[in-house]
Amino acid sequence: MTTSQELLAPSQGAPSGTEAPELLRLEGLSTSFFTHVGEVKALRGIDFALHEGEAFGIVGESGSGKSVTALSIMGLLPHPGRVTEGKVLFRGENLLGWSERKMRCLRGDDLAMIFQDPMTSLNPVFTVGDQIVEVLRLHRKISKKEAWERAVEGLRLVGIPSPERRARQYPHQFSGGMRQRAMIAMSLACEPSLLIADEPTTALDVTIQAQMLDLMNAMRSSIGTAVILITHDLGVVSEVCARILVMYGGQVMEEASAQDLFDEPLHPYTMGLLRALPGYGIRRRGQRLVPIPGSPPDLLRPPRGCPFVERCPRALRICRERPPRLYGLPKGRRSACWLHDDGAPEALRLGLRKGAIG
Amino acid sequence: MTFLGAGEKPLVEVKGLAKHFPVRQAGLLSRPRMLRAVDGVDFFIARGETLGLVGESGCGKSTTGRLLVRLYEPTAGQIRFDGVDVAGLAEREFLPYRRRMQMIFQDPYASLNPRMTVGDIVGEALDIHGLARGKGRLERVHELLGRVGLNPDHAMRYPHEFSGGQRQRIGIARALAVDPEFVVCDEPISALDVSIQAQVVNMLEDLREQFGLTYLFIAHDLSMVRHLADRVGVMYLGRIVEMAPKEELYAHPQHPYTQALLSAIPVIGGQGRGSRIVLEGDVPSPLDPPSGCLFRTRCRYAEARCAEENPALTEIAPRHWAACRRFGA
Repeated sequence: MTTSQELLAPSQGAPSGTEAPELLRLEGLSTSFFTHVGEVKALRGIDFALHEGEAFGIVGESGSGKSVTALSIMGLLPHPGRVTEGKVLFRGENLLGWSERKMRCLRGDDLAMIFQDPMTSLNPVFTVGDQIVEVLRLHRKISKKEAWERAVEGLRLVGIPSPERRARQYPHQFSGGMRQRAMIAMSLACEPSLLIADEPTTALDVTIQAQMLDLMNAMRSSIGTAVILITHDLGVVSEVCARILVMYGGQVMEEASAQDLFDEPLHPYTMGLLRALPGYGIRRRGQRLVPIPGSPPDLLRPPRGCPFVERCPRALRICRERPPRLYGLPKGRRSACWLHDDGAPEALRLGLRKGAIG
Repeated sequence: MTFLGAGEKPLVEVKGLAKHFPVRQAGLLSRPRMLRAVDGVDFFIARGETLGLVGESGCGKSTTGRLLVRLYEPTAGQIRFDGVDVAGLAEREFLPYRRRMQMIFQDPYASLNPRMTVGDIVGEALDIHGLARGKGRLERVHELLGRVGLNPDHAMRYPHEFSGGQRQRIGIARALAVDPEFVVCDEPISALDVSIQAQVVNMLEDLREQFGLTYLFIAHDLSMVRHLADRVGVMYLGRIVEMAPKEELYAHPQHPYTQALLSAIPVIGGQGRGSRIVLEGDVPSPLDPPSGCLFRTRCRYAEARCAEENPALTEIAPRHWAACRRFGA
């Protein structure tokens, strides 16, 4: 297991905008779902830190634990999920110890979240304007009239045309892209210091997705909100985020700046993921994609060692036996692979060098 | 044309294909309005070729695919398969053609009957077309499962026992059961994880080679279409707005919609890229399409005369067709 000493080191040296104070830190966060067939270990010791105003991406495939991470931070884990270990430190305070009442005051105010499907997070029987007013009046002592004006202004800021009229409409009168804009307006109504966006563009078409990514970038620079963008789409994360965390099987595989990660992935899983994409690993015509064989691990019975071992082309014997720690590497990077260990065979060792992929 | 020799007939040829769905209105006596899902589409697919069809949701690409295998009856137009217009055939006469054209669906969860074993799902088409029975049927099912990378003993299991990627393989085995020549792949990988997508795409490529298949590959993932297709058609509001060989289309997109669509794809390592064309607004409702050119409401080149006439597809370069008044017509 990683010690907090090791954790402190690399994150401090993380690239871009690290002058800002730390906003959120996860320490050894473990979450399980206690189902009738047994304990599903969705998260097993997640560590990362985020600074104010930072755009941070979490990528992973379905079942990697990226959404569970978000819900654990927000205190919104559905039954039968429960955090079993670790800390969620928001401005230095462990949110896991907070009462539901206190959490409710924080959510929607300083800590906000938007979901993949805006229709499930907007109430169909209230107008969009009323829903934003509700958020504002819950967290700010302002009059109804003032709240309404701010709601309309919020809708205008996210690029909704004729916001006065739109604020009086119901969610079903909005298109998918407009609903997601309204969600963004609602989540930013109280100018939170952290916005968690869970697959915010997955349900949208590419041209609408492009609008949304531009909007998120614009809002981040105007309000200064830190963003955790959760997605399976490496292209999306690369357009918004400066730093990226790659998750797999409920654990952190790799963390690096967006540029470093795509220039030179260090973890075999990240390498595999990139090679499987058309237009990244292969550029010449007629070349085949390189799939990752097999399928993700069963988290009811998580592997004893590295979760990726069954699919890893470089697996060593130790990978089956013991989970690798998250190695701190130069340029503020971290990667959980035995091949970074000093004891790994010289010829196989993975470290920073050019041409690591290929 | 690389895929069509002189005098050779395409395997699939579509002319003026249209599908209008009636949509019920509020009010007892009001007449249903027509949703023009596909509204006058022409294209051909040569034998052995893969045609990619891209566009955003609601553009009519899936409806087009379903029309080709006659899961929908067309409102108007011709579908010529191997020279014969199959659009007007009675169901009985159409059966032999249905054997030659198959479909792979997007949702690997919804497209497999949960109460049937994998063996029956794959074998059902063999029964319907009377292709194999008894021991022969079982052997054929096992062979097909092997082709798509599953084990013969999987035939006894039910769909819920499989992962998304494995289910998609079952769907592919089912499509291949009747030895089709033409397969419509309707977003076959968009429900799968990235690492699994590559497995399925490689398999589709291998099968194309082994069986000499012709594909209509429908997708919204433009990079996957680029990888797999020979030619690509771009649809918008029920019409094809541009069609070209893929190298040409991705290198020199001419229609303003294609240009915007291509520039909207998020690129890995593309942070801070300034050149993106971001389209304003949303796709208009196909119930109430704009007059004239359907794209004019979001087009940066739109002028007054775009509202008057919907431009026809024009060949602007060899094998490169686009429907925009900026290219004559």
